[in-house]
Amino acid sequence: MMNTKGSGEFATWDVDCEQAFEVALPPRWEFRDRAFGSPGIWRPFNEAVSCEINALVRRGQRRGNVSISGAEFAVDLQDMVAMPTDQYAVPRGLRKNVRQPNVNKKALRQLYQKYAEELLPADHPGGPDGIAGDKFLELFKDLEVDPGTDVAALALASACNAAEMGVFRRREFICGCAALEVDNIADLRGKMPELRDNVISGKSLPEVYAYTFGVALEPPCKLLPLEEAAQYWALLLPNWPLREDFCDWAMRHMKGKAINRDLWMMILKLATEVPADLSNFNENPAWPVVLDDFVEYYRAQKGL
Amino acid sequence: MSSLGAKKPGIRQFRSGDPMDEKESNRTWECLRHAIHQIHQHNASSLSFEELYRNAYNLVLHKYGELLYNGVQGVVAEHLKVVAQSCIECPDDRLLDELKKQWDDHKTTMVMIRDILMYMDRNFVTQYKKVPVYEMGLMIFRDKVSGHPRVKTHLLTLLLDNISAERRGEQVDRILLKHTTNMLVELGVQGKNVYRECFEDQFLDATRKFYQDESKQYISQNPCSDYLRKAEKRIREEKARVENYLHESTMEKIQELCDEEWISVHYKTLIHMENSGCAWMFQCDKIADLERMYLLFSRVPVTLKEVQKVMMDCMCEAGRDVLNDPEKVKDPVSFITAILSLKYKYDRFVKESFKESKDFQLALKQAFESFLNKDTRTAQYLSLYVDDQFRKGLKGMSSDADVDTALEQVVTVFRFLQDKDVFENFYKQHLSKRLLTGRSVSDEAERSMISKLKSECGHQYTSKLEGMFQDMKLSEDIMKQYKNSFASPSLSRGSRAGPGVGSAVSSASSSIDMKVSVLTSGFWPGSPMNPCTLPPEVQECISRFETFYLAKHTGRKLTWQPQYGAADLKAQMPKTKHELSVSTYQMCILMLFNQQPTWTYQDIRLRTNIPVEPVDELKRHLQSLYVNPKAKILVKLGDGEKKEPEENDQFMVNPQFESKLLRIKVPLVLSKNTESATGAPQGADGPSDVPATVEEDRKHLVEAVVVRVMKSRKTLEHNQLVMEVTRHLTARFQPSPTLIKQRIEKLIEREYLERSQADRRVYNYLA
Repeated sequence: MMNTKGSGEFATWDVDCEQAFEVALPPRWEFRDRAFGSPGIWRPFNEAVSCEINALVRRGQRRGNVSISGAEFAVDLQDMVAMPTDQYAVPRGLRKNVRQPNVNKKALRQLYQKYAEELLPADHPGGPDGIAGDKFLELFKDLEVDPGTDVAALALASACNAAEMGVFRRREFICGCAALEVDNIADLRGKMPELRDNVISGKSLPEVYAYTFGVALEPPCKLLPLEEAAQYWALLLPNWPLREDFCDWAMRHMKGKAINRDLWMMILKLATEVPADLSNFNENPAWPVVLDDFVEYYRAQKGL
Repeated sequence: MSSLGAKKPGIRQFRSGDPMDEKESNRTWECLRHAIHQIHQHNASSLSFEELYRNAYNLVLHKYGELLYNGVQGVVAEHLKVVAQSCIECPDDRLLDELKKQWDDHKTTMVMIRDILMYMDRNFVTQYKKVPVYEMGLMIFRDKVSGHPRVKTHLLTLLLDNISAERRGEQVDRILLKHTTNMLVELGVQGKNVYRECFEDQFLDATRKFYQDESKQYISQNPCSDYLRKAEKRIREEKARVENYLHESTMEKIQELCDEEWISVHYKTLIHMENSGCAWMFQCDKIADLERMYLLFSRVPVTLKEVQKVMMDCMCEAGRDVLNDPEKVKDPVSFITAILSLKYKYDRFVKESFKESKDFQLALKQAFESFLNKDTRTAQYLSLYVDDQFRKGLKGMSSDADVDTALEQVVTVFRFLQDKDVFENFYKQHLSKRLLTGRSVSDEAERSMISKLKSECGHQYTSKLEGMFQDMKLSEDIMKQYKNSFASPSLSRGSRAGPGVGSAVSSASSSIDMKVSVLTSGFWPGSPMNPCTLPPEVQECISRFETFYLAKHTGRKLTWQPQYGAADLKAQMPKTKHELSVSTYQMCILMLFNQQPTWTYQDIRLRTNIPVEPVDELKRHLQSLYVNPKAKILVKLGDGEKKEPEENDQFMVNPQFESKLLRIKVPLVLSKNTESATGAPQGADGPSDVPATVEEDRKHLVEAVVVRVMKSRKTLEHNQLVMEVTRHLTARFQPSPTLIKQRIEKLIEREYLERSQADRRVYNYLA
């Protein structure tokens, strides 16, 4: 049934893939000097500049200012040219270099079709269908990962940039697979230990951690209840020595018992940059008041 | 000159034609030697200056300068040997006189010798770099006479003995001493400071020892003020001594020595001396003693720090006493009076004892700030004090200058307050009560108070207070216009008003005189309350006013606030006729009794709708009508045990009511709730903290300032931001870093700011 219906629906598959690939692997931007008729050679911008231009594209702006190697450029994406705001700098031509992930679109479609089903709302920007509910659990069962207790599941969701907890929309799933460069279940399963290790070792922790807060929120709400936050910390920061002390303290003393984004991000900083004896805590005076209070309490307790 | 010129040919002739041989030179020298001897024997009058001068001239001219110079040196030395002998043999008590005599002689003879040998001094001495004759004489005197070990030690002993005798209060021959020290100073030629070596060093040592002992002994047996007097006297004496008979170079050294021995060593003991030290002086208003101490101690400026510390301690202690005094806790007026008298007391010390020293002024300010800002009570009491002054205190004052002084005093205390916004909050409440009840003694004084606050804290601080005055003035105009708008005065009627109030005289007839105050919301304290149901007569008046007002000012909205109002009622009591001065709420209650003789509590509540939330106004106003024995207008039926009305209690007009007074004012009972609501003092509860409304205002203020700073700076480091914000706000209150931090976090949450990705200590402003 899925297949018969799918043939029509998956007609847009290639377009979906192109768009998802661009999210998974943002295009790099290249430039060449355009002076005195000499064509010059194309050279890539550094990563930060590429990011800035991509941000312009994402925001749908045609023009914007970007600083390239110290000089400020007015980038015009319609004419594909970067005009210096300083009139003596050389004008430069622009070129987008789209990166293609090493995946087979067809194989990927087969992988997706196995788990996909129609989901509401149909006009979701991630696509009219996706992996959710039982199918979602089935996927993770095939990946040999427990989505409730294994941080690899969060890492995968982060790679997919999934907007909702427990759901991979079509483009989100393609995006995740493209980022990981896998197109079948065995390869995807093989990536799981790496995803897990990258989070635990801290390599991909900042992205996954930041992503988690966004996906954990119920949309209009901007605060994450403390109890939920504590569960995520257990997943994401299993090695933080003060985690349990902090959660205990927060449960008893914190006003509101909810975490805002700023506090969430600062707790990552606390967990990764401050040792268990809190010796360098005072180097940053800008810690949120909640953390100040906790540290004061904790120091009093431990006699630090 | 011309006579000298006449001699010249002869001299030239002598020089050129007649060279001097050895024999001739010896003869000439012999002649001079004899002459010098004669001078020493005081026979100089028999000598010819001209002849001797010529002889010396000839010797030098014919290259016998060496012979002459050495010869003179020998003769003088010979003579001084004899002199020295006479000094050595001289008994101690005569030594100084003998020395004086010999020294004077020596100086006179040396001047004569120098004059004879003038030519030698000018030519031979400069050419061969010898010591001039006069100084050579001094040196020989120094070596042979004053430098003689026996003379030297005796001289020193004699000098020191004389000085210590003088210190004991005995008379000494100052002129002789002056002479001797002068001699020592004059002997200091050719790089040798005889005065210092033979006298000053030993003198300083002896003095130090003497004062060490004396000060130590004196301080152990005498109170502080006596010691100060003694030290002052000693220092003055030493100064006089140097002026009288010592050399001026000693002045600085001896002063330093005295400062050290009399002040530096003992200042702590002095300041902290029990029952006579600094603290005691402050307590007992010893202005003169403190002045003495200040003048003495300012010689060693570091010691003044200790005095300042003690002063601050004393003030803080006195301040604490005032703060904790159970009498003054209850009475704001005596509290502020006590603070003012404390300020007056220490102002006098600073002014009269400490010569308005900047350091002491600062210490005074710090001390006041430290104890006045322990809690917000000072702000509250100060406002209550002003309230009291405006209600009663200023009445007694006839002249504007007196009023101004009284207000100026308030401002001096106001300056010490850190939380000026708390004061503003209380002041606003009290001012609004004064304005609405018309209890203020003088509008002019009120305005001058506000302009004083304005000059202290700026325009923004008083804008609301000024707005309140403006409202009152406008309301008066409106009332005039309103009354004029009726052709016939019989039609004018009224009651209380406003987002404000009015006093109304209502009678059984239909004429009600209404006064409405139209208040701008936002200027006035307190949040609006739901209005109650007014008696129909009054309601009619109100509607009329509303029509009148809204016709003039379209688009405005009037909310009636009866809780601020008052009314005068003409009442036909069962036995007598009275005029009752009551609150608007009470008027509503009493008017009910025109309809039927008894009402239950429940019915009263339903009919009047007087709010019971958040403060039970109905209970309070109703209770006031029957509990006060002097104004027992109503009676509660049933068991009279409880004072508080209950749901089914019945009320009726007191049939036994009697009073000699025509006009009866019904005072309101104070319930605990109302106290906290109006911000009146809460003696029993101890110091209250910053009121919630102020707390709320502060949050907004801090956020506004943070945004303003960040808007201009775009990115800023945390500590700099906190500093900047604190700087902007100190004029109003002292924001705690935690408060600022919390507000920054709120602003991050609301996306006015973000933390910089690169450095978490840095904030970026998001446009």
